[in-house]
Amino acid sequence: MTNGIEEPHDMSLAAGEYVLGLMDDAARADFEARLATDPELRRLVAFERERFLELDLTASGPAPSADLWQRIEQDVARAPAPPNVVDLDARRRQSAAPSAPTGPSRRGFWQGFAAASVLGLIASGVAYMQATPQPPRLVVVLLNDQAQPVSLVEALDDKRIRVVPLAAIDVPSNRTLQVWTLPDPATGPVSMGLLETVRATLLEGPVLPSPRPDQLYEITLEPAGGSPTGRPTGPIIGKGYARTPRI
Amino acid sequence: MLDYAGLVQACARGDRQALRSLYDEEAARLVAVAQRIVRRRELAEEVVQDAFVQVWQKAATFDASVGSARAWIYTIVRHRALNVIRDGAREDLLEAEELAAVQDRASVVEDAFSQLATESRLRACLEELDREKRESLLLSYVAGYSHGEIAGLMRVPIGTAKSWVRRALMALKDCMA
Repeated sequence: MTNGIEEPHDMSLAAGEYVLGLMDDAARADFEARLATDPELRRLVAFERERFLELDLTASGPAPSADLWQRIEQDVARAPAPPNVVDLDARRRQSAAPSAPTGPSRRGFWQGFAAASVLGLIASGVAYMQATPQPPRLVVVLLNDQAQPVSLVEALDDKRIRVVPLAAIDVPSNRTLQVWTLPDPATGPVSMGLLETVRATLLEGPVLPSPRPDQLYEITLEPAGGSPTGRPTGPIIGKGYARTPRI
Repeated sequence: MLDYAGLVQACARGDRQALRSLYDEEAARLVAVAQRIVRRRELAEEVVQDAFVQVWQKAATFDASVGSARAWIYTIVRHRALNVIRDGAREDLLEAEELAAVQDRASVVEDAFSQLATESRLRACLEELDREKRESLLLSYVAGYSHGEIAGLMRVPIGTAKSWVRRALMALKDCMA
């Protein structure tokens, strides 16, 4: 065997040994670094994981101790809140590999939880008040990475947007355009829907807090049917920040 | 079938009921998976406790391109269990009760293999492997054995154990393709 690690068969072997848990720390760190940027390697790992999961699913045993859930709840209450997102790109780049847990912290979680609940109340109130359509509250021009406008997004109310493409967008047959917004960092990116054709489209997403100036909107290229993760995974076609129109 | 991906996304939004749903569905089996590796029941529960906290904290980083949400949860539990035993807990076991441990390993691995559904493709492909290759692979995945531990248990040089696992992986890949 004179092939280096680049040889395809070796990569699938490496994926297998990674999933079995046979790599030492250094090899695993190298592998995970590569995994973060190599879609083909992720596919190989996904294949191995699903294959061996079957062995895990043969396991069975009695119900865990009665207090196990309470112990988890206590740890979760003490743990830092899930990482906030202010940048959709950063979230996309995050590694898929599970790693060591971070140390517990006693602050953050409950404040975040309380704020989320308040936002929920505000959102439902807004939905009630905004039952009738009206002119756009906010307008967003989405730019591509060459700073060229590719689409206009008008936020009509707390859930509906109109998307008006401003340029031809090449969409491969097994792909679709998906529109996202970031209503607030704690919620993370939310899908507003799929753009089935590259022309003006009215989309209705979930009920969200009323859109704000500077709220981020973006369009990404995703697998047909939309992102499998519920978060943006594909390349950004355009993105921009909401502005208040002077009507 | 539970919507694992949806529940993981809900965890990322801070929905603790979603974490509870995952727990209700999977905790008993996850403890059993961890116990195959760490052996002691209370240690296995600690592994699952830590793993659920990780699921909560890392929910936003879940990426379906490296496998399903359910596989992701099991991966976290297996990693955690492997970390626990790599910290040395099992070396004592191997030295002190070697014979009992060998029998114990054999039964854990045999149990996992025999419980695979009769129509399982994985089962059919594992059955095609030589016994030592199949056992090396299963010892590694099911019982969390390292190359060195497989070599020790099966009384062969470590290079032989490595090559058995690799050949098993390659043969499985060809068989399941």
